[in-house]
Parts: sequence; C-alpha cells; structure tokens
Amino acid sequence: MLMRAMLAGAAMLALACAPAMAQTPLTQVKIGVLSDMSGPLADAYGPGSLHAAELAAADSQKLMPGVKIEVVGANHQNKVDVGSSIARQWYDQEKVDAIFDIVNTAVAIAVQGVAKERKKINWQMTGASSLTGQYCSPWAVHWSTDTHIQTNGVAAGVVAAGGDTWFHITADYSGTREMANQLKALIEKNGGKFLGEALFPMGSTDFASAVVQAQASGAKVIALSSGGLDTVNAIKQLAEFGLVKQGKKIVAPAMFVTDVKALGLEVAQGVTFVDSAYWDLSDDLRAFSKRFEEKIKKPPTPQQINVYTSVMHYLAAVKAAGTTDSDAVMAKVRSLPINYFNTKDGRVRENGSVVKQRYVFEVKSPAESKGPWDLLKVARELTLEQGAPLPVDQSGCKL
Amino acid sequence: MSGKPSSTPAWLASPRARELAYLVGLAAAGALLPLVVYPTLAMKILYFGLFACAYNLLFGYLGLLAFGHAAFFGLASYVCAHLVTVVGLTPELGILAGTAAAAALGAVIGWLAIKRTGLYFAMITLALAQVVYFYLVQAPWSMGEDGIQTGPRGKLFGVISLADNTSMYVVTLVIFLAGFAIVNRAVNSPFGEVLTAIRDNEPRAVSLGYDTRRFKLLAFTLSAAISGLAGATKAIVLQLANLGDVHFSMSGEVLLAVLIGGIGTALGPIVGAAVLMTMFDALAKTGAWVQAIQGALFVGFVLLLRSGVVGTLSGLFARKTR
Repeated sequence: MLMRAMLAGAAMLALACAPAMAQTPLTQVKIGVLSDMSGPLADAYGPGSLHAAELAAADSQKLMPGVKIEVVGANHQNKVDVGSSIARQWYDQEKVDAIFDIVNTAVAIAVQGVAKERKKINWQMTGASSLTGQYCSPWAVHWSTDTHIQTNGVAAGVVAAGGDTWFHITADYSGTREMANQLKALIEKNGGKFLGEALFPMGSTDFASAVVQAQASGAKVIALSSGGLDTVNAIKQLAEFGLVKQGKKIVAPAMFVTDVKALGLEVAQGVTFVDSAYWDLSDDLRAFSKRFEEKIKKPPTPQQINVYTSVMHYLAAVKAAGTTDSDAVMAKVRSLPINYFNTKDGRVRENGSVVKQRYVFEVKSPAESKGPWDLLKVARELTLEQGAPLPVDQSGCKL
Repeated sequence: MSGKPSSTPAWLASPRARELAYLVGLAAAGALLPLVVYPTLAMKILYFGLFACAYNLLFGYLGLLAFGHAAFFGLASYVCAHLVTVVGLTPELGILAGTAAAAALGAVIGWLAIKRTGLYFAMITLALAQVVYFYLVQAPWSMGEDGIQTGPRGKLFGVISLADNTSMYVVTLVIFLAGFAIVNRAVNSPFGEVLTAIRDNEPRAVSLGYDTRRFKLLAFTLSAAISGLAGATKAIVLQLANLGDVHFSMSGEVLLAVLIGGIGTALGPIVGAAVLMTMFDALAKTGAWVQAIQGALFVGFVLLLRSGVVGTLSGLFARKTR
C-alpha cells in the first residue's frame, strides 16, 4: 500500500513537471490496447488485437533500437465506465502514449473524449463515423472502415451488378437507422430503388415478420443494417426461409469475418460487405497471417490486421518525429504515406479519417472454399476515392 | 441482521452516536482512499457505494427485492449529462435535477410496484425499468447507443473548477457522505423502525395502525432519489451517460454489491461496492474471465456467506466478545 501511495505521489510529481520535459530525447514508447477481451467482440478484436500490436512493436523495434517499446492490454468488458477509467489511468498515471483498438462504439467515443481532453493520441477501429465528425479530435485517427465507407462501397457495387431493388431490415437504434438512411440515399443516387424497410428491436431473435416482408416486397437485395449477433441471427433466418437459395442478395455492411465463420458458408454464402483487408489477399498478408497463427491459432481478422498496421504507422511517426509529443507525432502521422500490405500511398486526413485500400467482399460458397478459414473473395476492389470516408468539409468535424 | 451486538461500548450505544462514528470513520477512510487507489477508481467506489446504500435501504431494511434500480441511476445520469451539456447548467444544478428526476420516476414506479410483493414486485420493477431503458435507446436527446459526452467537467457553483481530479474527488466524497447520512438517518429513525416492522411482519404493522403503503412508497422514492444522486454524480465524474447505466445488468450489479457487503448492514453496501469496482478494474488488466469470476463470486456469497463480508465479520466479533 505504501509502495502504491509513493508511486501515486511520484506520478503526480511527474505530471506536474511534464511541460518542462516535453522535448527530452526519445527513450520509450508505451502503447495500450483497450479491447473487448472476453465478450461478443473478442474474436474479431480482443486478444488477437493485442497480439497484432505486439507483433507490430517487435517489427518496429528493429528499426528503432535503443527505444523501449512496451505494449499493455486491458479488457473494457464493453462497460463504458470501465473503458473510460482505464483510459484515464493509462494516460494520467501509467504514461501510455497512445491507445489502440477500443472496439465498441460507446467506449470508443468515451475514450476519444478522455484522450482529447488530455491532448493524447488514440486510434479507432469501430464503425462509428461520428468519431471523425461530431466527436473528432486533432489527436485521433479512425483507421478502420466507418459506416459511410461500408454503405458507399456496397451500394455502388451491388447496384452496378444488377441489384437495383432493395429492402432494408434495420435494428432500431440511432447508429443503424443512420446507416440505413445513408444506404437509402446512396442506392437512389446510384439508380437503384428502395422498396421498404422493417425495423426490429436490438437483441431480437425473431425475424420472421421482417423476412416475410422482405420476401413480399420482391426486392432483389436485402440490406441488414445491424451489428454483431443481430446480423448473425437475421442471416440465419433469411437462409431458413429460403431467401438465399432464391438468389436474393444479402448485404450486411457491418459484417465481421468471425460472423461468417459462426454462420458457416452454407448459410452465409453470397453475403456482401466492405472491409480493408483479408488474410488471404496477398503473399505478405499470408506471411503475416502465418506469424500471427503461431500464437492465436487462427488467421487475423481484418480488424486485427488493422491494429497491426496502425501500430506500425504510429511507431513510424514516432520515429520520424523523434518524440512522443502528441502534436509532433500527429504531424508525422499525417505527412507519412500509408504503405502497408495492399495499401499504396494512403493517408490520414486532418479530421483523423483515413484514405486507404478497401474492398467489397463476398462470402464464398462451400464449393469454392478450400480450407476452414477460406471464407471470402474480393467482389470488387475499390479505388482509394471509392473507398474513402466522407470529405473533411462534409464530416461535421469542427477542430 | 440489524440486531445490536450486546457488547457495544456505552458511548456507541445510541444510534445517533453510531451514525456519527460511521460518518467520521468513512470521512477519514475516504480522505485516505485516493492515496491507495487511482482517484477515478476511488470516485467510482464512492458513487457506486452510495447507489448500493440506497438499494440496501429498500432491500435490506424493507425486505423488498427490486430489480430495476438501474432506471433511477441511469435516468439521473442522463438527465444530469443532458442538462450540463445542452443547457449548460453548472454541475451541482445538474446533479440536483438528475436526483429530482429519479425521485419523480421512483414515485411513479414505486406507486405501481408496491401493490405487490416478492417475485411480482421484482418483475414489475424490472419491467418498468426496461421501459425506461428502451425509452433511452430511442429518445433523440439521449443519443442512442453512443451515450452523452458532457465534455469538460465544468465549474461547481460556477466558480470551483472540477477539471482537477482532487477537487472532483472532494465533491464526490461530500455527496457520498451526505447521501450516506440521509440513508442512515432514515434507517435509525422511527420511520426506519416501521420499515423493519413491515419487513418482518406486514400484517402486524397494519394491525398496529400503520399505513404500510405510504411507508413503502416513501422508502421506495427515497431509495430512488439517492440512487439518482449517485447516478448524476457519476455523469459528472466520468463526463458521460450511457446505456450501461440503465441496462438491467446494472440492477444486478448493485444487488451483487449489497450481497457481497452484507444485506441490511450500514457499511456492507460500501464494502461490496469497493470489492466490485476494484474487481472490474483489476481484472480488466488480466484480460478475460471477468464475467466468470463475477458469477462465481455471486454463487459463492449466496451459498457460503449469506450475510456478506460485513455481516460475517460483525457476527464473528459479537461471538468473540460475548
């Protein structure tokens, strides 16, 4: 107890002296991976995210000898209170320089608020486009595909491929309603037709009425604006009602590879969504996946690949800046091009949104799959512009 | 459980003296707490401890197992966060408004729920709390699953900045002590005696001429108001309100805190809250297993330590000194 009290005292002293030592030479960098380590998102993110960050730290270490790179992880348990207080403790007391992953929209927004107040860096991997809009911070990066990218990518691609009549099945809460509205506007912009929508309460297990409405509408495409377990349950019932076999196209903008695995290819085949990477896309990704599998025993999800590349980019910026000072590092984060795996010359914009390579993926049929994790094929490779987040001036971000 | 040990020293014999002793002890412990744990965790222990005390008033002293206290905690948290952010109220007015909202909601839910007892009472409170939950999921002002971010903590009375953790901690401690004093005063007053009488034998209390419904409603509303005080304080401390505050798992956690600490003891809920909050925090660093350990703890206390940490300790103490 005495030890902890002394530590606390020392930390407060350090905090008080902080402005005076802003320009000390770079000796150590500390990275925090705050994730859902045990809940519904733990497979897509979780311990795999932490390991991806550790691999990135090990790779960067070779380029920055003499700098101690430390990675710590924590489980926010999908509790906003726990997540936000861990972030406070990391930034204030444990000298964590940047926090990564932060899956779960509500936790993500809370942590971004904590970081912004302290002028600290955070990197986001959830879908909420408000992170670079309403809640944007000059010290934040939104590395993953947000709802705008997801809807934009599928709408153009699917309409162009002949899917011109759409029905929406939407979880009834603000984020998903917003996603459905974005999608509707995009479908109409691309020349498609919106036929109707069925809302269901979050956490529902009975989609019969929505499925029947979708069937009756005669739409060629059924879009699921929902997340996690809701999406999985809805797709299951669409398959049970035979809509998949009838050749209906199912679009689930916020789908995870782990959801595909949970559903199985028989049920999920043909489902379309947007993401930025997949383990089997290229030789360097397959090599990375092999390294990753040594510990985690399954290939990295797109989200975990994102954690790896984001930590790589952050550490490259720290190295270029020669300091962990947030402003200096963020200047480098924005000026250095993003060149990891399949992305060539991507960049981080002023509001933290990221232009990089993205794809429209389609789930393979059982016949096409050659292994337990051979799940996806690229339906369409988006250009950097097609896969870009909303332009900064339209994002609603006021910096 | 609320029986007085025969060995109490003379100066502690009167309830008033004991209340004062608790208050002084808690104030001293509260002053030392931030030296041991991180200030944000210390504040979480305080507001959750207060929430558990409020719950204990109903569960421990009136014997009513409510399963919807998250509604009061959460609604107050939302109202406070909303008023502070959108209207720009100072923190203390936000907290007062949150508490008032929780009290009003408590009066309505209480009026409906106390018509029944036991399982039916628990189910009615749960159902009505779920109504509040889904209202906050849908309402435009509560910002859906994102929750409300209040931004900077603001200035108390428009003067004292709460951005600094130390001043925020002092304010939280004062609110906690005030809330604890109110609950403890209620329990040790004639009003509290009537509550205990209703818990032990309601028909007898009725036959003695007490309007038990009025007492129950009053206790329910008071419990809801103090829960709201805790929830509104939370909104200021963590600068946010979110759906986790109104989710039914929050109602379960406050019940668990009271079970761990000791049902119907003055200090038990606080000990339970400290155990639970420290556990969430400590286990966060170890990764997985949090929910599993929480569940095991619940089972363990229900099966082996029915009277909780404080109840068991004071039982042991009483036996030794007899």
